[in-house]
Parts: sequence; structure tokens; C-alpha cells
Amino acid sequence: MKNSTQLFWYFFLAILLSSADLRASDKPIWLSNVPPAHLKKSVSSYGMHKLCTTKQRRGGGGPIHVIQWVREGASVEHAQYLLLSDTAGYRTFAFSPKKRKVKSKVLNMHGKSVVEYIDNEEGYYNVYLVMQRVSGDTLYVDVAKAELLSHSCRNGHKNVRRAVKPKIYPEVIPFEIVRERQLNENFHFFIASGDRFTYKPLLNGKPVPGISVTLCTEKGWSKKESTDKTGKAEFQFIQDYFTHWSEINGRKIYYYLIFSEFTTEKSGKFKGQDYRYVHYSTSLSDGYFPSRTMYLSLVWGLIVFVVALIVIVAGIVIFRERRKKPYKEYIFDENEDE
Amino acid sequence: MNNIRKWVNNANVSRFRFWVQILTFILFVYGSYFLIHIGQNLPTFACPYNPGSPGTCFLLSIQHQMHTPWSSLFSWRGLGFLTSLVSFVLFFILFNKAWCGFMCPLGTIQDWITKLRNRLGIRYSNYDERSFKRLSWVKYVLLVLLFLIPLAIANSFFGLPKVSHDMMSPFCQICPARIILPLFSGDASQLFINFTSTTTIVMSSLAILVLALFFVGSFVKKRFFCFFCPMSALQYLFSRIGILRLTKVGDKCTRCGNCSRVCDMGILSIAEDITSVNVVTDNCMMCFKCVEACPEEGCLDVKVFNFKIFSSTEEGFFKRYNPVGDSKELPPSISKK
Repeated sequence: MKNSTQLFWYFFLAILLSSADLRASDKPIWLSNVPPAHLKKSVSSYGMHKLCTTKQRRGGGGPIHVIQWVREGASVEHAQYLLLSDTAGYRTFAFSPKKRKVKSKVLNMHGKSVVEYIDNEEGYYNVYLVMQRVSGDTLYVDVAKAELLSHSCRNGHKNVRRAVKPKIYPEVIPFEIVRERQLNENFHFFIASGDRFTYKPLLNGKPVPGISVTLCTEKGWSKKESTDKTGKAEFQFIQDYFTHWSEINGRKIYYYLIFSEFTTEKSGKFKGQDYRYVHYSTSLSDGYFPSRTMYLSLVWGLIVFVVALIVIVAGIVIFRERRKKPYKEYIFDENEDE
Repeated sequence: MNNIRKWVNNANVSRFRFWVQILTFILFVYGSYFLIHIGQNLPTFACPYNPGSPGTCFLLSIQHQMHTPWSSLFSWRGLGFLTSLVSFVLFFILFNKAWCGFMCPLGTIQDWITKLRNRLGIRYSNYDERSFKRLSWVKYVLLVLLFLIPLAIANSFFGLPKVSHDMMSPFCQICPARIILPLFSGDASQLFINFTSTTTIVMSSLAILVLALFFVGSFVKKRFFCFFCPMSALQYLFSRIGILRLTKVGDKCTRCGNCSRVCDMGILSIAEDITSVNVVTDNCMMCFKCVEACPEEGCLDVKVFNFKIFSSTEEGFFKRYNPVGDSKELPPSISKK
């Protein structure tokens, strides 16, 4: 009897946790670089990664205020833009590539919330929106993260490797997801569809094996993986398919969202409310370009080269042959005039 | 001092140049493998598409910088362009157009192709005077386009629609260095046709066509590409402030024509112009073959500021062109050309 009661409670708990999981994974909170359609004209963008900034002329002097829109939902295209209330219990953090904490705040822009920070260094800025609340006996810790590459070639390309290295801040960010860097990454690196990347959710700076990680792209593709023993999950960005040639735009940035979450048993008190479980959720959003090589043809390159070579050589040979003059011999007789 | 000067004036500068070219080729093509980083405003084809490049050609920087709205260009961001320009001029001022003759990796490749043609015994071509004058403008047209196209991507001219982003860095898109130099690092990935859009198809096909022209052209005409090189045009704009100079004393010139006959670029004015002191023209690459081939004492001089470092001498001429002969007649290798 005792066993069956225990089993019932375990079963009940499992359902509770999975339902919490489902609820959370339906609506991850994340930071987006894309403004709502009706506000596109009231902001501007800069750099290869088209960082969204408050409407101001770059080069007009003064710092650049980069903004990230707060969104909710797993659909990259349709996730709603949030307006955070002052009572929502959020904190924002922004760290410069040199790991310096920079000022950040949540602003209300035309009825939508944005996290704003000031950009004045080369490399990846880490921007976070941390939200905590207790619901029932669970403390929900949602961390929305953005890694934003700031670069202008005018500032040079010094210390590239150091500037693009991923940085974490376990002392203030309890749970975050990190994209492992590839060897060839520099200020001009971009993720492209078809590429393979490894993501690592870190709880207080340590990897968490066996938790779910979901990747959703703007084109609607999504994939769920579990972290392996080392706490890593690997994804290959699906090759985007375009039905018409005119749809291909090699310079268009598509966006993706990756998020991870899990629940753990941990008791405590938050703002006077007791909790028995903590549900951690973290998200990371970034852009990717269409495939680097899919639309490049080396074979056609070689064919055009060989054909051009043959035509030019033939042209020169014919030109030279035509300019040849038939042999003529002149015999001068010195005594002719006499 | 006189002995040193005599030794230098009798020296074979072409051989010296050959070795400098090899060393600088290694530097500009493989430099980054030796952890060398020179800068991003170099007055030569240090192509960043080549993974081994230790720096960046100024033409790429300039195209990148011009891709800016007017409002930004005439703000503090314009200072960025000016500092790049100053950096380019500082590099350039030291060696003047000798960057082309001694250091350009693309120029060196053309010289190697010329050597191959010589070995194969195939005759070379030259432009006639009219074609020479007409074609000399091509590099200036390319230079202007290289400024204007990036500007037209970021700005609308006369209310016309902006140029497609696919035209970004237009000269780099057709520059043969982008395809050739990475080949030396084992990277053939630049030899492609880009099917992303009509513009990219046209530009990448044009690049391959220019590549084929480069190889065939430099096989039949010495330094074929240098004639159309916008870097050469840009350098010429600053040539007068270069500390390395090539000067001529017209009174000593007999108009024998040796200098123009040995000139890889086929510049006639070096022989015909007896009034100008500065004889560096837009097509000149400062290889100093003309000084080597001049038999007149002090007619042509290579100077750093006003200090002569290499002068034409009769003795030097005969040592270089007729090292074993005792006759002071014109060497056949010159007179036949």
C-alpha cells in the first residue's frame, strides 16, 4: 500500500514536472535582434550582423545604443513582443568583450520592451535578461541571452581570437547556454546553414548532462537534442531550401533560437515565497546566413576559365598570324642612281 | 665612399630585384603563417582572401570605407578613412612605386610568367603608341569606379536606386589576386561562379575572364596587368611625395632609346622626354632597368630625397650587359631589342 502511494506521488510529480516543461518550452523568453514589423522604420542597424540600434546616425558622435527586443515563444517568426511590467521581477546584465560590466536597462519602445546597452568595444557582448518568479512550489528562473558581435573594420582586427572567445558569468547568471567557437572564427565569421555547431548549457558555470536543448530556425525548422555526458548538444543547421532562384539572398540574415530547460529539486525562499523546485530555462538567439558554398560552383568556375583561356589564346594566335607579312626581299643597287 | 658608390653603380640591380621579389613574395603570401601582421592599408596586393596574407591591400580597405552613407562619411567616421589614407601614404612614401616593381606579389608572378615565355622562346608583344595612351586611362576608370560603386551601394545618386549589395568590393570581385594568391596557400576555393544572383553570376564570371586574361596577357606582354591596375593609378597620385625618386638629367641624354627598350611597361617617354627631371610616370613600376641600361654618366639617377643611391654609368652599363667583352660597342642583346 505504502509502495503504491509512493508510486502515485512519483507519477504525479513526473506529470507535474513534464507539464511544467511543456509550458515552459512552449514559450521561452528570448532576446531578438529583429524589431516588430511596424517599428522597423523607427530603428536602425549596423555592422555585418545588423545589430539593432535606437534610431541615431552612426558617425554623428556619441555612443551606439544597441537594443534587443524581448520576445516570448518558440516560433522565431511569430513569437510575440513583450512589454515587461515593472513588477515582472527582471534584471538585465551586459558585459563587454573585455568582460567589463556595462550599463544596461529595459526600455519601453512604442509599447514593446527592449534591453539596451552601449556598444564601444570590438568583439562579443553578452547581454542577459534574467527573470525570476515563484509559481506554485516552483521557482522559475528564465535567462534570455544574446551574444552580439560588434565590429567595424575601421577599428582594426587586433586580438581577434581573444575577442571572439565565449565568456560566461556564473557569479550573476545562474544558467546560460554557450555556443562553442570554431577554430576559424574571427570578426567576419558567420554561422551558415549546413554548418555544425556545439552548444553547452551551463548551470553556475558547469555543464549539465542529459537535459533538453531545442533549436528553432526562422524558416520553421526545429530540432530537439539532449546534452551528452559532457553536457554538449550538437546541431547541424539544416540547409535552407528555396523554391525559386529569386528567393535566394546570400546576404540575408535568418535568425534562430536555441533554448534549454530543466527542473531540479531544490528548496528555498524567493521574495518571501517558499519553493521546492527550481525550473531553469535559458535561451540564446543569433543570426545565420544561407550556405557558404551551396551556390558557388567550382566546376563552372573551371569550365569558364578553360573556355576563356582557349578563346583568348586562339584570338592572340590568329591576331599574330594575320599580322605576319609575306617575305619580301629588296635588293639595293648602290650604282642604280648613277 | 667612392668605391662603395662605384660598386653599387656597377651592380646588377635586376638580380637584386629578383631576390627581393622572392623574399617579399614569401612575406606577402605566407606572412601570417610566420605570425607577421603588417597592417590593413598596404600599397600592394596583400590579399586578405589568401589565408597566408600578413595584411590587407589598401584597395579593399578603401572600398570597404566608401560603403558608407554621405551623412556618416562627412562625420567622425570620415576620420577613419583619412587615417587609413595616411597609413597607406606612410607605407607608400618610403618606396614610392617600387612597391610595384619590387614587392607586389602579382607583379612578381607576371615576371615569372615572362621568364617562362623567354625560356620557351616565344616572342612578346608591345602596345603601339596610340593604344598605349588610350589604355593608360583604364586604370583611372577602374579607380574611380572603385570609389563610386561602394558609395552608390550606400547612397542614392540623383534619386536613382542604390546599387545592389552584391557589388560590394567590386574590384576585389574581379581582381586576379583574389583567385591566384590563395592558390599558393593551397586554397582553390576562390575559383567559383557564384549563382546567388544575376549580379554575382556576372561578377564572378568576369573575375574568371580577367584571370584568364591575366595569364595569357602576361605571357605575351610583360607586366600586362600592371597597365590596368588601379593601385598603380592611386600610387601615382602620391608619387611626387615619395622619398625614393627616379630622375633624369636631360642634357646628358643622347636619346639612344636603351631605357625604353628594356622597360617592361614599354614607356617611351623615359627616352623621349629630355626636359622633365622626375621621370616616374603612372605606368612606371620603378624596377630601375632603365638606369641599368643607360650608358650615359649620371643621366638617370635613383635618389632618396636628393641623395643619389644608384646612377647610370658607362662602366656599370658595360659590366652588366657585356661582362666578358672588351668592346664598348652596344651589346647585341640590347641593340636587337
